[in-house]
Amino acid sequence: MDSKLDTSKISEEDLARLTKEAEQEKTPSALKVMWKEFRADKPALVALVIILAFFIFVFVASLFINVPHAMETNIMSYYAQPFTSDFWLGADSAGRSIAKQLIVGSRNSIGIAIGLTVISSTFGIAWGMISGYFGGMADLVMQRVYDFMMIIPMLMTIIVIVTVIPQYNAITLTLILSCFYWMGTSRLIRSRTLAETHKDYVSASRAFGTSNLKIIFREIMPNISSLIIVDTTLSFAENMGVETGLSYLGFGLPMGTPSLGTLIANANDPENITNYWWTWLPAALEIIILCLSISYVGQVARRTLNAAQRRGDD
Amino acid sequence: MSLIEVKDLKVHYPVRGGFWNRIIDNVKAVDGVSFSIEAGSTFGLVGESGSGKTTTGKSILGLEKMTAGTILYEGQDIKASGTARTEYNRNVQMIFQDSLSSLNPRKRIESIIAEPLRNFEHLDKEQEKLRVIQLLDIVGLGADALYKYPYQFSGGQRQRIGVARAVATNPKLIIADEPVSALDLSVQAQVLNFMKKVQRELGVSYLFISHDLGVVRHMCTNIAIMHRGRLVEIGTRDDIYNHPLHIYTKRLLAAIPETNVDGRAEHRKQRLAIEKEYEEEQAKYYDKDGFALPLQAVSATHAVALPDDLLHELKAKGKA
Amino acid sequence: MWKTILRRVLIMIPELIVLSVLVFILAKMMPGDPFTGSINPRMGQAQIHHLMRLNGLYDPWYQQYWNWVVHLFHGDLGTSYEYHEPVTALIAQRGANTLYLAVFTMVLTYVIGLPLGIYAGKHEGKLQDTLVQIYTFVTMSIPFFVVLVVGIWVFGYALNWFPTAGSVSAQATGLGGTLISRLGHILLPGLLGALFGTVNIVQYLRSEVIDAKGSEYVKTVRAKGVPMQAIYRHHIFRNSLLPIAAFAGYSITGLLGGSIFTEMVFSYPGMGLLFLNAINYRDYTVITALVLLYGFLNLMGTLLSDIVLSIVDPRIRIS
Repeated sequence: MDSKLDTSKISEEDLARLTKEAEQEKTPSALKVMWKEFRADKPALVALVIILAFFIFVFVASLFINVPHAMETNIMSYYAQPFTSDFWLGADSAGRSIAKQLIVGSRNSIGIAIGLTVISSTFGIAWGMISGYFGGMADLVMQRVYDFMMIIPMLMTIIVIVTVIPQYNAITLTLILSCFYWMGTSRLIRSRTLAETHKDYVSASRAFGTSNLKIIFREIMPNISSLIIVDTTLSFAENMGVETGLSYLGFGLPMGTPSLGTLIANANDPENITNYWWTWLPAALEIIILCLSISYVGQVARRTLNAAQRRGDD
Repeated sequence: MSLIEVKDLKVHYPVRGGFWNRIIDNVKAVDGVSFSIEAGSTFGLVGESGSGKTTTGKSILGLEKMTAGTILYEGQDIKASGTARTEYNRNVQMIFQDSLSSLNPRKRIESIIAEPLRNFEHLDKEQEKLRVIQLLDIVGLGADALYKYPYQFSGGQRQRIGVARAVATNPKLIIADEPVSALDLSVQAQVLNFMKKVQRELGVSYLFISHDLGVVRHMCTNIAIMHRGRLVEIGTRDDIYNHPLHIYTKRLLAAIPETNVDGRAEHRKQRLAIEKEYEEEQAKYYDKDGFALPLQAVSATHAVALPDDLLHELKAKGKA
Repeated sequence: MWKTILRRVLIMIPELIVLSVLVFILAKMMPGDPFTGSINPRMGQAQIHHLMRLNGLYDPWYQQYWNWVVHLFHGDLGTSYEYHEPVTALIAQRGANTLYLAVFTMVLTYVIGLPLGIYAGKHEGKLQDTLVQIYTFVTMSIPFFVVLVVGIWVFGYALNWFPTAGSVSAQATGLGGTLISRLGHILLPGLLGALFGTVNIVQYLRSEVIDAKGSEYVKTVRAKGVPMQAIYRHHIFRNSLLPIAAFAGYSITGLLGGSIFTEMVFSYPGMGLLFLNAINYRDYTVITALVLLYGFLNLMGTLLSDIVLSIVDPRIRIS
């Protein structure tokens, strides 16, 4: 049949020109559309800049802090006042600098929240897509596991596990937490995958011999990428409260490892909460501002997603 | 030997119910359908929506699980061996009804058309690109379509892209599921002509699934009429259009809109007469559950689901 | 319909069994034993061993589990090692406190959430809607425990409007006085829980109202001349009421999880605080009983909501 077609009329240069043109009029990716939306929305841009600048600051600054030294008890500076040259934010009952704890604690808490988001979202996305795509028996079993995970008293179980495990660090804690925070994502992704699976392009791919895994991750996933970005951002805001909450209760990061949660736990002492506000309030304010900013970024991302759906090109 | 032979194909869906969610009944979407398609020909499968024609097409392709039946491809049972199956998948492709949803909205035309190529033929990048351009050319689209996205095309253009994708691996059989019913009339003819052109140039066979008898007449050499999961009549174009025997076929044919204004009143009278006949004699043509009777051969090419007495009557008439 | 309910209940049983095994194994894996560091420091090693044997703590775990299940069915959850009281009695006493707070919070959540949701939906796109949206955004973004800490600081310590610990004041006398004191103790935690727990209700009702406003049947009724106010009352609100009520079951999970933080911050002697203490004292029986109870309550809540929703929405019943 090749003889019937004249392909010689398409020259190398033509092909190169076409490729270049195609690059120029490339339909923007989900991330690019969102970026455009952010540039138009000043508060969203401010929130994004605050988050990124703050992240960079705590990760770089904590490199210069000697953590064991900073966590040493120093009776001399017992409840040192804030806003002095030695103690910018004062010191706690053991005379440890709040500012230093805040920086290292932020790094730990943010790092865990990022790790938790990456692991639990990846797992939730894979779970949801597989469950939604294959359906049938696999879906049924996976749904039962999901149901069971939903009725487990999560916080209590995590506390028990943390108490049971003789030794753990930030990484094991992140892994433990990840086991319990994938369900929301998986449910959302499953329902969207279910809807996508019924579309003809999936049937077409099957008919044309594409493997199931390729269909799931190469054909369906690009179609729900915006949803994934939005969901991950919102989960991140939520996950900021997970480790910090546990550390606040005293079951998060081990002793001697500062966290935003352990700083806020200073407020458990009525003496601290009233007289020595600097021991806990900065950490509380930081969490509030961070969560609001991340959540706001997520909301704006969701708005672009909805707008894209309205235009029908999602 | 026929290119493909479908024997007693059944697709049943279980109906679950009762306390333990056991299978209490079956929906017989396709119930004992047999036909064969010759190489290079177009076989029309006609029926109303819900008659099981799409399910038939999808189960031939392997998108629906067959409950029973065999499919012989070039005389070989496709369930027999794995390698035969791969070869079969490469040689049987599909054109979908909805051109928009059957093309992945996030992919460029190049990767959409190249998808079957990537799975079955291992070409290098340059070869693949040239092949896609060739395919686009067959369906009358230029190379500038290569890097565009599906939504940048009109419905007719998209369906032509669907045709290009279906012929990418040089298949022997293409299942076309209502390929033009979502398109404007003016565009329908264009797409159909490209399909015919592809057939002339590549010698491909079509299983043409449609509810539109006008389009089927234009495209098909052999036709089967399907009703409630079973075939009620099967034959050549001449058999079906000029000598319809089953009451359901007659009714379908009467429903084709008549463009000739002069015979309007007469046409209407005829249509009403057939409708009346259908109402009255329906019971004779279907079994007690409302399914079509088994097919009976009335000539070498023509078989109809007729009750025995009518068949004898017909044969007596033929001899006399 | 009873089939749906019964089937749903049957699905629950394996979940309950798996939950109990899981909880039991977790509790058994706890380091330390419940007697070391107990209130009597003069107790010798031999005595501790004797006590452990007496309490069946040296039996294999499945034996212990079986004993525990048998006792469970007799309404016996064992004795707290720490409080020297039957666990059932302990939980009944602390559970009552948690229940008061949870019910109070839930009622307040609906009282705040229902009008806000309808109000936002009615005024879609206007300033009122934006304000409600900002409120839900803020409340769903901030971690709840931070809210509690800041709340008790501002309203409990700084302004001194509310008590900061306990469930009832020791000075309260008489039925009326006790009641008022109890209410005073749950007012701030309840309000905070409700204010920060309305997101689901508000967003659901808001979108229901907006959807209904654009629906054909409301347009038809409107065309017949029924005032918009009556449409809200008789059509939109009534349609959304049962699904909204069904949220109550699902929200039990959140309320119970939140109770641990609330009771910690407000030193409120409920089950959450009991659990935290039990963890610190390795009080196996109490830990096991509480995790199981919380899981059971979550299960019941979900069951209730599922059943209510399946009655309201036939589509769910079929699947």
